[in-house]
Amino acid sequence: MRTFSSALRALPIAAALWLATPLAWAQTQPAAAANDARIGTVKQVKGDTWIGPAEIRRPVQSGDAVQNADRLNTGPQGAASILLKDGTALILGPNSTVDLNNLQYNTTTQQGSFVMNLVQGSVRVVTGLLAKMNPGMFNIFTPTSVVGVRGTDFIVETEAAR
Amino acid sequence: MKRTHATRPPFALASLVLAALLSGCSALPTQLLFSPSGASSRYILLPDTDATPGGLEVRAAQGVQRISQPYERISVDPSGAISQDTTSDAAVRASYPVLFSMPIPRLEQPAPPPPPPPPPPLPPSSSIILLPQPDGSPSAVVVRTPQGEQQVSRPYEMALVGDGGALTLGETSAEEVNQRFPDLIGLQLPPPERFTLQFRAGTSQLTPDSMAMLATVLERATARPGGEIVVTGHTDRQGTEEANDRLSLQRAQTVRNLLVARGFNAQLVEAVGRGEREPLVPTDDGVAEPRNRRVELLLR
Repeated sequence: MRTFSSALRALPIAAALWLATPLAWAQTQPAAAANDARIGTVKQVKGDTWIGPAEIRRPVQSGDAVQNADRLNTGPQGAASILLKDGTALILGPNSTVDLNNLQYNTTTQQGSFVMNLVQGSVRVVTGLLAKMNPGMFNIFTPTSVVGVRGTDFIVETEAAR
Repeated sequence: MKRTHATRPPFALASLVLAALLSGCSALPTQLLFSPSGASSRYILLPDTDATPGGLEVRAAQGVQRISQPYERISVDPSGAISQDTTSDAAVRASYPVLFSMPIPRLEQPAPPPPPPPPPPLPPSSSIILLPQPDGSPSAVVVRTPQGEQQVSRPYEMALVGDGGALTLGETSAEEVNQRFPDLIGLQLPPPERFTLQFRAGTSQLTPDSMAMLATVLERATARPGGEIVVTGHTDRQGTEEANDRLSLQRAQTVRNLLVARGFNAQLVEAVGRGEREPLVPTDDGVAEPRNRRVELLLR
């Protein structure tokens, strides 16, 4: 999933559009489609915070797009807040790594999925519309558990492997 | 302590005894022998290769002497008189270079057993803490592991996931959470802000008042970290639904273009058309209602 999505993003935009959407639609709506890849937006950023796979990760700035299959990563002094399209807020604590494995949201139908993997560290999740509309599609994985929601604000923490 | 050449195993030289026999010698049974007549001899204890304590006892015509420290030396003169002193590694090597020129043969030692492999890393443990809803409404999370399922439904209740997915419930507090996760509590997202802009009837032209309001909108949106604007267009109930869908999107796009033209990041403005579906003031179909001809701006 990650490899595929990363490869997809690495292609020229036109090619990505052609792969991701019906051709005719892509030709008439290129600007909107490019914006559709954005599933959320980075708000506050503190300290060292990166986005993208380990080998090509880049520092995050306020206003940056968050896309499906992104990895977010903070250093010892790092933290970041992210608002997803459905209104879900993610706040990432220091020394943390999350993989946004399957983040889909259709603004019109308010349907989609949210699967996030907390590899290490801590994250606070304030759920939005998606968890309200499709609670079964909203799951956070830790190495040892799966957290499902019921319209909520909560923290998940995972220690580094001992 | 009675360890001499005669009693030591020939090659397991834990403690190497260097006996420099300068002439024929005799000693007591089980000890080194050396000649009592007209010869002198010296005995030097060398450090043990594996640091086990060593020792040497020399008996001569005029007495017995023991040494146990590395580089201690016993000298016996031709009359059998014994004396003791200490030499050094450098001096011994200089005096007896040949004795240090050959490797010491050793018994084949069985290889020590390999160290046990380190235990596999324990899977990390996790905790899940439910925070209160701002309006005090009830909420819950469900934590599932291979060992079972646990619902966390009170604020500051906590599920702990241990080894192998063992689940226990715990309790924490606002103070503890603040202390332990300062960034998670500190990086609050500011609440969204809303603005409404009005249009002239049947057009996508803003009223003069609304045009003036754009400056405020831009200022507020720019002040928000990573601020986004969602522009949603609405119509009144004159005209067909299809026409109103188009018109509402046009209105939203007009505002979006105005915002972008004034320097707001185009990536962070979204235009959405809702047609006549969400009137501000409910009316019958076909009724002109200026308050419904609007664009709502959500700053988040």
